[in-house]
Amino acid sequence: MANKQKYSKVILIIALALSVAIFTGCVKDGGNVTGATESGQGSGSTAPVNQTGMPIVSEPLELKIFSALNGKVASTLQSYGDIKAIKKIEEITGIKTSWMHPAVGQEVEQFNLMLASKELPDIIIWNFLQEKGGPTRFLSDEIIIKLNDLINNYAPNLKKILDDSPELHKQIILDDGTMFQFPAARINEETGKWHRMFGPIIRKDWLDNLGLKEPETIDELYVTLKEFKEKDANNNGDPNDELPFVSAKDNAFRFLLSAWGINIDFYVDNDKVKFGPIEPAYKDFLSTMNEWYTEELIDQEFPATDGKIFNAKVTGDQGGFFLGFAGGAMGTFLDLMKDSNTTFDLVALPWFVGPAGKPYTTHKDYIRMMSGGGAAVTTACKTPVEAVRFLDFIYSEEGHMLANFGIENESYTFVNGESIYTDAILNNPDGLPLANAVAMYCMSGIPFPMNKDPKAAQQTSWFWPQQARAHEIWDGADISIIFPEVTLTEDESAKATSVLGQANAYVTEMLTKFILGIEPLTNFDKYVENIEKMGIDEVIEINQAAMERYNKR
Amino acid sequence: MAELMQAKNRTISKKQGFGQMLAKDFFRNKYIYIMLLPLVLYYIIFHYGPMYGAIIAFKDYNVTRGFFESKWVGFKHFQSFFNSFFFSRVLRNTILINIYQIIFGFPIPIVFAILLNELRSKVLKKTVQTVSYLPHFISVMVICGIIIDFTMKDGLLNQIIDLFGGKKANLLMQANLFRTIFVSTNIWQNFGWESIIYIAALTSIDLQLYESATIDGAGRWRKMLHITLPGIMPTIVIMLILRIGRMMSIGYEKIILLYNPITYETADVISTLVYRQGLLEKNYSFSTAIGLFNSVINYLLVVSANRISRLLNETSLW
Repeated sequence: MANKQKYSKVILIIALALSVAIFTGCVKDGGNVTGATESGQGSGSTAPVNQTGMPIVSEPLELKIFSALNGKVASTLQSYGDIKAIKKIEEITGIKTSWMHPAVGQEVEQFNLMLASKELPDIIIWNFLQEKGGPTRFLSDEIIIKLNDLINNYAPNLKKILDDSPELHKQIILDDGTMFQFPAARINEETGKWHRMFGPIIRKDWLDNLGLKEPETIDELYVTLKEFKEKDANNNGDPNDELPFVSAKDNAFRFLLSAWGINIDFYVDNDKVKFGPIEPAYKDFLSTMNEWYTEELIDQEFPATDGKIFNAKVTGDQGGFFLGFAGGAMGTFLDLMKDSNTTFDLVALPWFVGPAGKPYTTHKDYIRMMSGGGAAVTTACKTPVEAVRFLDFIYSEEGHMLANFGIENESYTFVNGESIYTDAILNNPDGLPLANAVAMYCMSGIPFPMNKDPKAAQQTSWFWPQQARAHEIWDGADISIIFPEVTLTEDESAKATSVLGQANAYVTEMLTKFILGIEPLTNFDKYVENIEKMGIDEVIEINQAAMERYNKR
Repeated sequence: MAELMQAKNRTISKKQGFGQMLAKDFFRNKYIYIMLLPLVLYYIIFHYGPMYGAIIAFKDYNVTRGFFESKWVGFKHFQSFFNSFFFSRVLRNTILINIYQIIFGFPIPIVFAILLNELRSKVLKKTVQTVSYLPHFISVMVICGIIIDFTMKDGLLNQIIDLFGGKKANLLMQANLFRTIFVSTNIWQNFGWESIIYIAALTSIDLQLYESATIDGAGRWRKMLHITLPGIMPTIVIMLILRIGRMMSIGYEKIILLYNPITYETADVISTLVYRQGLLEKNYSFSTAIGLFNSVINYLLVVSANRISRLLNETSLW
């Protein structure tokens, strides 16, 4: 009896403890918030700042910078401070940098933790546009500062780039003209164009085997896929092992539908914002895809195909047509297959002309500013002038070369006036992959506040001639239906996320179900009704207003 | 007379009050209390302390404004959860998967522990036990990779189906199979680990009971039925009560790795909804609200399961 009592006492304690454990969900400790932010703009600056010329400071100064640590850098170095170009920039400007890198995979948590603890660095490199309420919230919550005056007075290099590219200028400012960041810009000074990196890709050798030409319209694509299906396109003696159209999950369909003049998200039709998945054209698209699926032109297992299985299908000589990046898909596959399958060849196809009559694309790689990589100056920075001058240096001619190519005669040399990477990068003595070798010397391959030089990208990611052609082929796409990167107010974005969170999940689910025919297309009207019930009309209106504000910038 | 004295003593000890009792008990067992201290502190600091954070379920939490300065919004997040298009579906799936896990998953570790107990060879027993709980330590990523490979159109399971004349098809693309796959792989991964507590309970049964039963002529089956099972019954009941207290919770990792639009219908649970709408959209207040809702339901379930158990067989947590 006494034993049993003791036993039950122990049980009681365990039980209490466990019941407590049940209660405490995922509650994070946030430190205290006293609102005591220092707005020390220009105050407390001890090191005398030089208004122009280098070095920026004559006495040592250190800037603390928060930035996610890109995997390409992390594979060889501990911090961005170890990149050779950064060391050189420190030397020239006289400003030391100390980097705060969140643990890889926990960037968002640690970013939030940093904000909650109010222990801010001097500079934050982050994609503020994707945050709820956008940069406006960070400005009004006194996390980052407005940079207009500082950029006008102390950032001649960035200013010049913005003057040359009104499009970039429009993309980096807010609706009221506020500037808050030094962007990761993509301006090709010669052509004013940044090459497209994503699009349709097909097996060139399969086309050749069957004597087909490259399809350019949806109808031609259908004929080609049909041939792939019926004949022995891969020449292995088995006419049934080809999967004409492969996709990892529903990725390909989200972009292929631009041939119908719509987007899986918002898009612009004659200055009017529309939500693609409820448009009649979407129903046409679905019915075509459903036909293709029923005829087994589309891989029957695509919903359960993740990136790894997708790669296996292409390299396993099964997949014939897909959508992908010139680097991540085309380059990877050509690299992987060069020894094992000498006939393996890929070619990019132009964005298709479909029912909409134009080669539309909705892939956002047209944007002049890379998402992420923009640098904002915080309210905790006691030396904003120095910080701005430091960031601006990266956009100067000297800084541009350092950021994009690294150190002259070490990581690049001039050949006939063209800057060319040396063997230290292209043929790394330690056997490092190209992308990792580049990251040791410069920032051309990572999100960073700088002007990305397409000539750098060309040398590192366009190893194959097919890739160079791909960029040219995709450049012909029509981007007029793409919805611009607008900024919403905090209330607007709260409304939009609560509606879109549900609507997007529902659209994703129904997209696959409609294509597979699990959900008959006769239910399309009911599906549209459901999305309308979630409140999509209001969000379309919000975005319409935001786009009008954007156009007035 | 003696009875009277006892009654008097009882009233006196009642009058002493809890504080005095505790003080008295403390001096008698001070080392035990000292040993308890770290655990109590752990719970105060890491579990009771952060509980005030639950207030963000009633606010529009904003990281830069913090817990206290964010706007109060009342039951907005609870309402948006209950009014969610997916509410009935995720609630149904969460409860169904948990019920299946209890019906099919709960008895297996018990049976396994009893069977293991019957084994005579010590070496065999230890080997089987170790092998059975190894899968518990494999990362869920790897487990899901194995499941995906096995259920693919040309995977192992489909080869077997093909062998018996069935039609090959990707098993993860069939909504009616998802729960079966999810629950059965969970059982496979965890039954060995969960049997440990029963094996421990089995060792505490007095061997003399078995001896006397043998003398009375009881066979193995009888002994199992009348000695082993009753012997571990309190453990079973307590484990069941605790299990019922997790009725509203299912980890999202495995489901996220295995589900796809076709199986959302049967696979989408509360935690995956929270993951999508709370974490991916950074809507922390929303996830906290749902977490709080789940905790309240779980708590009520534990309390009622415990009460029922106490009424039925006098074993209970408290």
